Amino acid sequence: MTWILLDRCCEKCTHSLENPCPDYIECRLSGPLCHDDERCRELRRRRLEELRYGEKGAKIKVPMASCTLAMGAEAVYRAVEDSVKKMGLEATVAISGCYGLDFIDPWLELSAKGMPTAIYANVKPSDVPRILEEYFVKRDVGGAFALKEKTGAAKGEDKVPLLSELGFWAKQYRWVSRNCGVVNPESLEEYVASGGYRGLSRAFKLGPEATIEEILKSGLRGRGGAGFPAGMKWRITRQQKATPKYVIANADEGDPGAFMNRLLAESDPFRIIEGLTIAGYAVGANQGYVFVRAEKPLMAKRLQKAVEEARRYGLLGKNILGSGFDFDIEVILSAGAFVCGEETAMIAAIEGKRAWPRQRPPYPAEKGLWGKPTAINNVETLAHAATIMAEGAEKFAAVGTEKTKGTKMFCVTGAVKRVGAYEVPIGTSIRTLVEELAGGPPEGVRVKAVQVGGPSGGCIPASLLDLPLDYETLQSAGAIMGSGGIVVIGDENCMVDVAKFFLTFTSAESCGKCIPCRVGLRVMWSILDKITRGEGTEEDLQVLRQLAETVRSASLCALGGTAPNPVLSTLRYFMDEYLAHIREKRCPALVCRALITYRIDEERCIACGQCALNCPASAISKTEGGKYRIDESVCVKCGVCYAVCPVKAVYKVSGAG
Amino acid sequence: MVKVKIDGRVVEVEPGTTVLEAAEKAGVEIPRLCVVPGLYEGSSCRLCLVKTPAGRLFPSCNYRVYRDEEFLASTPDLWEMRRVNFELLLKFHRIECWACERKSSCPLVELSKELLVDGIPVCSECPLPPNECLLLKGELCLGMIAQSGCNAECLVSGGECWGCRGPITREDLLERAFARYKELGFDVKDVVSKAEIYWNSAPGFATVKKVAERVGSRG
Amino acid sequence: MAEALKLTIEEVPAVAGKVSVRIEKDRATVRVDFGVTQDPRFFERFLKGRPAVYAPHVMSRICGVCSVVHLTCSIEAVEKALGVEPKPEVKALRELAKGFENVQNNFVHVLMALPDYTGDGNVVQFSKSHPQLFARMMDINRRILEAYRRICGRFIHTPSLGVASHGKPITKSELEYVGREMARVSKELYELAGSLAEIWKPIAQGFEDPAPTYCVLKPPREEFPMFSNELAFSDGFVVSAERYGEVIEERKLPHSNAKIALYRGKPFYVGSRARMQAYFTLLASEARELIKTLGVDFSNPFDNVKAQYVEVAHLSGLLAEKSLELASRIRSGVAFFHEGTVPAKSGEGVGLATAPRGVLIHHYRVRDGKLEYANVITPTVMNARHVEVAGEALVSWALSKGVDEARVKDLVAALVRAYDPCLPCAVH
Repeated sequence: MTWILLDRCCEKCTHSLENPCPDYIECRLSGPLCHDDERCRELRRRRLEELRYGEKGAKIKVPMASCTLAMGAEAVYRAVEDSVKKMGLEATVAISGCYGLDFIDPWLELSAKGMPTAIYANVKPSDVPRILEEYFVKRDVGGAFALKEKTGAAKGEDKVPLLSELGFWAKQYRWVSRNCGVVNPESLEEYVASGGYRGLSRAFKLGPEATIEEILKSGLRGRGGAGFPAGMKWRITRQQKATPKYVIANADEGDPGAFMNRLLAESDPFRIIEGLTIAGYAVGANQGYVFVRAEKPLMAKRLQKAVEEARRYGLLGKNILGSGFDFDIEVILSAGAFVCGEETAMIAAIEGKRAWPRQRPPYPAEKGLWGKPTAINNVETLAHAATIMAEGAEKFAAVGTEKTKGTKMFCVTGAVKRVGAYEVPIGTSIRTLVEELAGGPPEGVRVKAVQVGGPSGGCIPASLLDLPLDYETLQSAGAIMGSGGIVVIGDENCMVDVAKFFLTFTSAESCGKCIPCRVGLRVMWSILDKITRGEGTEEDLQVLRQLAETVRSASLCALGGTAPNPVLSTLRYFMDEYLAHIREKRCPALVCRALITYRIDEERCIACGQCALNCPASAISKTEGGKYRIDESVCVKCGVCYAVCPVKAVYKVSGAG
Repeated sequence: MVKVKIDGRVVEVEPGTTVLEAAEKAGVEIPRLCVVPGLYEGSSCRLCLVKTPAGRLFPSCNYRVYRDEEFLASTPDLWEMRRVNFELLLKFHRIECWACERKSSCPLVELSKELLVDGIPVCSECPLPPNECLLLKGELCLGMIAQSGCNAECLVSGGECWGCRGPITREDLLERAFARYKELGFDVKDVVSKAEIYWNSAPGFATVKKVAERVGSRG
Repeated sequence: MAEALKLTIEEVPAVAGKVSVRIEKDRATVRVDFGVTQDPRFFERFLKGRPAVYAPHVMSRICGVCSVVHLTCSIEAVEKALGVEPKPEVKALRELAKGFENVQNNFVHVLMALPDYTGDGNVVQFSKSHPQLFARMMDINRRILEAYRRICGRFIHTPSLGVASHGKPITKSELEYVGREMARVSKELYELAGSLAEIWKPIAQGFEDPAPTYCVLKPPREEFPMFSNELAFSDGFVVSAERYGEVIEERKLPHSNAKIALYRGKPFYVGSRARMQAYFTLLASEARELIKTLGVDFSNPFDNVKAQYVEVAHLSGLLAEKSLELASRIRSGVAFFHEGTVPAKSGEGVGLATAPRGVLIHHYRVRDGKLEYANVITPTVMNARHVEVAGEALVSWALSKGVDEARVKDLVAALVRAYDPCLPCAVH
């Protein structure tokens, strides 16, 4: 049986589950600590090398996270296994999480002793044999997307850039996402090998009060959206007299377009588990929960696996690392609702009740789960806590702004060339994220606005792209930091339609408990709908604004409290579009169906018939002249012809037709 | 005991008392709909919101005081918020006062008068119980489509409603009302003709006529 | 006496509505013009084409003070035009309602006009100089209104009265209560007369009505009538309601928005002064006594107010009787008289009602249930020319007595107030 890093190196090691050694974690990498033996050191060195290059000295890493799986990673994995067998390669096929560079999904990472580690992008199963042949047989990396280092030993190294030189990597500060795409998410060993669980070990050595001090010193603010100082939350919970206490990890990432938490949980789940354990230790809770939304099953699976592995090796359970601290975690799958991300609704769901938020005060830190003091933190916050305890508060606080220290993971989606998750220091400008990291808009598209903070956030116009990403600046600009989802909106989008889109989401997700959100959002939606149909009046704008204010201030929870933000921010920055819809019955972006007509430019038309073939309303037919024409009285304006025409002969004009 | 100041009035209460209870003691009226002691903890209707001098909002039914605190319960913006909130509640409420046994004890009717919100028909204030409705006696009463707020004076005096406060505006209510008129044997044209006496120049009359036409032309 | 005189009263005070007076005297003639400046409201026009059953509800709105007489007179006209016969209880209640209005309205008019006769000048001053009397009179007014509300509901624009219907549920015991209460009121009014007589000074004693022709309703029964089918005149002439147009003519004057009415081309008057003369033999003995006690001079237009007081005292007694009589006819429990639908026929009808200030005529022509023609002649219109003629005579008489200009204006204003507290009736 192979020796793994988590095993005892020899009989002299006194660690066992019944009698854990407090230096167990440090000893994994820098040991043996309690005795001196070169063989034990060699054991560790060899194992680390095996982990790096695989037991056979060659490793093919296939990322298996929801993003890559969606792009066909499973088929690629099978193709890799197949090819390895067929080619008789001496290579380990391993899985990992994802780097977050979704524009290269699915990717492959190949490494071998002596060879530069090479990343191949957008791999199809049919590409696999060729890639493996090139790398392992021909030792040629010319076809790679990027290299992790240069050794001079492979052909074509000069043709391929170093990952660290590429903008979208170099400009990141991968503090909490350092392991994503690197380690096998199901392996506790790889987590510890990368430096994991040093944080918990140090926390035990400092004691709970000093742990809280460290977190306070770091300035860590909740990364779930509210930005409340994590250390303060832990301190308040700790100070409560009632017992038992609880800690909860909020893994209910619900914003459309946000997947930072998912990425973290699927790629480096142990960091979250460690963070939750540290939180439990700091506040004095012996039971923790991870609340995962049902729509992200792989996230739940990986977290569950991590819990089980941690239990197996005594990092959860009784007397962890000999600290005298008992702690266990239960992973709970939600029944699926956006409102569950609200902490009091989450508590109700865990209690088995309907996920209705509760009026605060009292806050969960005082009266939470089952009426007991509960500290709830976002998984990114917990991952930060684990890393801070391991690396030290100063290192965390070395980046960021005056008011907010550290880094944040942002997901950039929409009209950009490089969709992905990027971790940057707080205070980085939106422009850096959108243009330098995400590559800016694709050919022929101009950026009109950037939605920051999901359906609770606001639209920042392109003119304000130089604003820094920090809590206060975003709030005064009419948006919120939120969970970090950034959607780039191009000029082919209608801002009124965008506001309506977000309201469609929030009004459907409203839990129904309070009047302003339950009814107000519906009414706001119907006004926006009216405007997009060209039936809006200027009075409607007044009513819209008044409703938005009422819903914002009178709602019970933050769902209703922030749902009007997209409306308010688009009214603030894009009033011209609203007025065009109202006064001229015109949609400047040519999106709103009632206000546009689809036509075919017969000169450009090559009579391929694709439009007619795909038209769901059978509205397109051939004319006598042989070209195609749209019958405007039948056309439902779905836009399919516009999308499938190979020569862009279909165009849109203003007017109801 | 802690001191709670609401709208300038000070009362002493036990710690743990809600602001709403303190307000009652202080003689400050705060509207509320969803607090049912022992059954529902409130904080849903949002009508009872009060604010601290710093501007933070709390539902008074739910916020318990444990130390001396001050609240404002009757500022114009709070009343405006209550009015908008109440209008939203009414918007999709199933308003069928002519058939509702609660009409003589309905808090929505009281609130609509207090907050000056339109939309509830005269039937809500009519003293006659549903089975003694004038319509059942063949009298053409316009109460179903007329805006309340007059305490149904004419009904109290023994006459029928002529709708002098104007028409209600919700189309779905007008539809249901005209359907009922038809059911009870009235010609919708007669209803419109009577309504015209007071509503000839009323802004909502066009909608009334439109709905009447629509219901009338149905088979 | 041969001087020229030009006086103007911009707005006569203490009347409801706007009337201005222009007094002009040259060497030989006196001319007094009463200009009602109230805006016309076209009641007779805008009901054209609408269901006739709606007419009473709308006509009631001609006046908020005497809404009951317009309402009930209109009902009478519609019933006659459509050939509808109301139930006897409905008719009885309608007469009660009408009687109450006459009592209440004229009683308040007395209170408002009395200060002219006591030397107080206005009601506020009167309330200060005679606080107990004032309080008692206000209390009597309140009780009359309360009694009305018991059986009819709201006093202004009473919703319960309709064509062949009385909508307010009433009980036997309520009618009995009302009867007892009105009997008490009547007794008090007779008692009060003594104190009133002491302070009630005559105005223009010796002044005589220059055109003493009057018109009243001919009583259909041997009692003070509320409604009738015939008009009677002081010269003995009687005419049926439908033929009123043969003797009564309406005319428009250039200086007033109100029309005037003439009897056979000549001015005439209506009101309590006319009725107390015409119905003298129908009055209760106490009422006839009261005429002597108060010293009513039927030839002096100013004594219309005294006549009103007598009428009020008599009528409250009559109402007490009628209420108790109706109570005895109803079986115990709630009586509620409602007519579901009224036939949409064609026809013509003229309603005659005793209004507080005189005779009221509502004349309608109906075709297939819809009103085709409406004409309303109010008592104020009937008095309109008479007021001018009496005013002219008054000015001549006053000047001959050496009265100064300011007092002449006061006298003329008091004359207006003696007829009528409200002029809007004249403009409809």
